[in-house]
Amino acid sequence: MKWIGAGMLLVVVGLAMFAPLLARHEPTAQPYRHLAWSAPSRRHPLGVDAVGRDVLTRLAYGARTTLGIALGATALAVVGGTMLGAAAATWRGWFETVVVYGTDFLLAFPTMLLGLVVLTVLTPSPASVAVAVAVASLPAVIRQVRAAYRSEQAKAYVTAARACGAGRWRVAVVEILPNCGPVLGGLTTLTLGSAVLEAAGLAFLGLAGQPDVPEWGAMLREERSLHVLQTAPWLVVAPGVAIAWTVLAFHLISDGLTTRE
Amino acid sequence: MPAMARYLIRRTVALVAALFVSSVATFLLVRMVPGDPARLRVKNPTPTNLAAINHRLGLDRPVPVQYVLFLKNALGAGSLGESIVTGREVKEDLARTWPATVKLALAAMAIATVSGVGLGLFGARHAGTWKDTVASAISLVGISVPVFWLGMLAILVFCLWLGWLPVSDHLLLPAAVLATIPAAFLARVTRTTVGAALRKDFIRTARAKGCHEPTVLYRHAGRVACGPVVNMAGVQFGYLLGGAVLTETVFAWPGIGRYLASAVLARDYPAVQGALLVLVTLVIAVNFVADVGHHVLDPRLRQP
Repeated sequence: MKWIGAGMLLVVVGLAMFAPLLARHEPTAQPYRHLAWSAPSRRHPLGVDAVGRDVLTRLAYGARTTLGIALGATALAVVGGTMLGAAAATWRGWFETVVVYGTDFLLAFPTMLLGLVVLTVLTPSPASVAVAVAVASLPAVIRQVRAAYRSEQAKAYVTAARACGAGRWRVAVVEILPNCGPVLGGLTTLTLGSAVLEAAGLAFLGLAGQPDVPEWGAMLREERSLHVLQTAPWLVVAPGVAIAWTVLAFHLISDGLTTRE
Repeated sequence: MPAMARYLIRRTVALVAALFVSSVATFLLVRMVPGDPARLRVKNPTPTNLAAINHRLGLDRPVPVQYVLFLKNALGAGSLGESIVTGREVKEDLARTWPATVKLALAAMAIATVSGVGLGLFGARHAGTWKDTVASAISLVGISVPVFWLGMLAILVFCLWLGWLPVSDHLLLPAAVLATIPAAFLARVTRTTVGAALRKDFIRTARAKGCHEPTVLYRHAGRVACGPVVNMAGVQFGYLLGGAVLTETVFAWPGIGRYLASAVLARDYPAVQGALLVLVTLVIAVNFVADVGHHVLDPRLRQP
């Protein structure tokens, strides 16, 4: 299962990496105004959008933006969440209580709402969306990492390490962290998947900044009017398929990493 | 049942604490926003003008005092300030929009519960066969598809091509679209818990004494799965209110989600604050009900 996911992901990464080769047009230029809303053709395999931009070009460069946001957000959430979760499990006491209550409280709220809260304070841009998605994903990471640490702490190798005189730092970083590898792997891919979905959602609401930023959610925002749906429905297909494809790839990898047949 | 009473008291204290913390958080959020709120409201900012507005809004007082005033206004007079964009009372906008959102969320939750639990039970009943694989594939795709895109496709197919439903003012399409993600999550939880319950000894006993399969599935295994499913339903109902922001935008549904999305985009802070406050209160209330429901349904949780 995870290999199917990895294969699907490879396609998206290839699209992002080889964007300049695949697309012979500038992502923000509007050179085909006379071809606006034209159907897919040999020259424009996915058609031309309302202001005369080649959709394949936008899609390929959009892969860079969307994956970039998701990677940045996930890196922030996983690194920060691992540090907080591990610290809570290691130091216990009031610090753990605060972290546990805080994450439980935040987990009750939809990630979309947390993302919107963050974007109320920041100015709209892809980087702000990444920060918003990171904050929204953080509570889930903290909870999972803390739970993984707590269950590892009960195991014999931790007792053995303590008996040999290992301090808290050593136990947390050298002994337990490597054993949380599979958990962190599943968690990271799961977070990447939800990050793509949420980033696209926030961009769809217009919070990723300038409308000419090539981003999959923002592309759909431009095509959401009934007029476009009626005259050029093919414009709606590509960005949505790209989002669903990428999220599905991450979910397949995550499921494959966490469940063992 | 003193254990249940103790639980209810503890849970109610947590409820009040959660409401307090979220009211402080939404209050502080708007104060954290860069820029001067008085400047946003005035065309020609002179110092006297700004000072007058700051005084009218109470912004010249210490922050804790401002919070108490905010709470007094919100609870006493039910006032949440004026929208910067429309100039109307935020309260009036919210009173107009929140019933639409609750209606949409309830309809979506009903669709999600029936289809999600149904799909999960179907998968569990045919565990290990191709039917199970298809059911899990459907739920996996369900959590991967962006709702706003699904909404656009639904409008395209059902409203524009087939002409079965009107584009706006119809509950079915937005509710069905909003239901996809919760339905998929519920299917996964149902499949896992029922699947695990079916491998227990008491199921073998039930089968051995000759119960027919539907009774085993619904009465024996289903009873065990009830708690986690209700709990998940509560969490998902909260998430529905988040998904509503996107779904309402796509379908031009006159609810609080669309109101919040446009308020964030327009930097209309009093409106953002009010909408967040209402949504957050709804989420907290729903989670409270789901937690207590889980507790009532699962006697194992009541053991000390």
